[in-house]
Amino acid sequence: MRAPRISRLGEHAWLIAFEPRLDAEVNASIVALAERVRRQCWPGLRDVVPGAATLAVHFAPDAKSEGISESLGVLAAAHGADHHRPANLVEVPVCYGGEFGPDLVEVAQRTSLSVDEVVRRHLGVEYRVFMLGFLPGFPYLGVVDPALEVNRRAEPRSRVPAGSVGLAGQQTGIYPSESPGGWQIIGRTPLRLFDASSTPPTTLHAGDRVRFVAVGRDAFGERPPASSPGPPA
Amino acid sequence: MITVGVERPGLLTTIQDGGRWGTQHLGVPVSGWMDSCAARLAHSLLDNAEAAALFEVTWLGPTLSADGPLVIAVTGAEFSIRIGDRALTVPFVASVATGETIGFGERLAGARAYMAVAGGVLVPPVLGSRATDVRARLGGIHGRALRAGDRVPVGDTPAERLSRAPGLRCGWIAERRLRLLPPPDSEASLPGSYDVLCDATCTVTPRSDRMGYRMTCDRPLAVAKGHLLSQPTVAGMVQLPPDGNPILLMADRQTTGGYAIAGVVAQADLPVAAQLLPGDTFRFEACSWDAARLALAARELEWRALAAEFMT
Repeated sequence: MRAPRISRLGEHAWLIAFEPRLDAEVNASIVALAERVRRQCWPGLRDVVPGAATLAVHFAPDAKSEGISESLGVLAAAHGADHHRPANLVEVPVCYGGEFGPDLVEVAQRTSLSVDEVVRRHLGVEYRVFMLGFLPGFPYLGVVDPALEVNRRAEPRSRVPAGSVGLAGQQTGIYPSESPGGWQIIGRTPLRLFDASSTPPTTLHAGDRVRFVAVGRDAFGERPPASSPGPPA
Repeated sequence: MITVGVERPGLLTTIQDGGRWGTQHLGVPVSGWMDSCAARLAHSLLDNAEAAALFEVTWLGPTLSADGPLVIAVTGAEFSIRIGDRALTVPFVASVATGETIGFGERLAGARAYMAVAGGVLVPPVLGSRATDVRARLGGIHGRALRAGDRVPVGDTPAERLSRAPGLRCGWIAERRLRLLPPPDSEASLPGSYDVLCDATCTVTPRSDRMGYRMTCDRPLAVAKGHLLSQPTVAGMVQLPPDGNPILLMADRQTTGGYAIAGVVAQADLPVAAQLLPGDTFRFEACSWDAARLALAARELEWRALAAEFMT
């Protein structure tokens, strides 16, 4: 793996850019580097944010910036997916199709697979959480079975229900809360992915493993799947 | 506990502070005040802690009522404000008696005003911050804009302070130039587009909000590739989506994004951006890292000098 590029991201952050591809080994380096950076306890360090193949390190405006770029270089060169915290394996129950998966039939058509085969191939991979972004708790999961690679919808939906499980390119993801969105929605989970009053507030973290498990409608019970950001308005 | 009542909420009035830091890796946006100079000026006029929360007022202002004696400072966009039967222009410090209303009237310049209350706004922090993110429904009053009937808890007011309105102005609300730094070194970055964008004249479109401003420009920009791998964002980042119309990311921006990046607005000019409205025209200007550092120092001196003039 070649050395990552380190550059300024505006005046108060640094971006470390690895090879731009969705690769578990590259991402494991990023997650491990994020842990090493956090352990430095640099004064003024505010956020350490993994991307799929990048890492941003954010500082307060009055933090000292001399030597940070060099220090990041040293930390990035330290090898191995070493001391990062043990990855959790999280099972995510999903009810596929019907009202919960309005795009499942179209995904089957586009991929020339049966609906059952789409579901089987989606269930058949143990995914890596590459990063969280887009919404609080939204996981970018990969790498999807190549037979299931589909584009985003040409017209995004203005409302994707909370818990929706989607496909886009090499990735699959889950909407923790209702949102506009362009991913192809194939199912829904009752699992809560974000709760601002919980510790930690998200169910998933970068570096975790996810396996989907097919369940029926009755898994939803009476409570609709949702994240819990705070008291109702 | 004293509260500030909301009689009319205005277009978009939210509780903000310096932002929600430490959880971007979980997908939680930073949010916080859009114009950090006007906001910190308002706090400093009342000796509030810089980390305190206040009201951010957008475009059409609210009518508020004092449920107890208050001392307030209002900065930023130049609204005409009535407190009881007194007429005041922004920026000012004023005492408000129990039962008096604070009415934001005509707006003469700028987009966003900041009203600090002595002792700060005391809504419960969420994930370490009182800032409101209306999309994620976090912070502020139930994670949303203020509504008629809300009662916002604020600090107990110390000794009464003389009203002061020394006829100053937050000068940056009249600026129409955003200094632009180069994009980072990554797959998403378009250094060629940075060169084109510098010296471009752009117009803020109505598709603009606290997440970001969509704009049109006077010259064509490269139609960038479609979705790249998502990478982290910062305030002031200028993205180039496939339609070629840049997006300037602001306080409620998503923590990561998959669009190409043309540059990053210098920190010194984020308050200028915060005071732009749809229809406003501005230009980008190339900026070196050293020039950005000097500009930021100058901007800090600018608002602190205003604070000092209030005391004379």
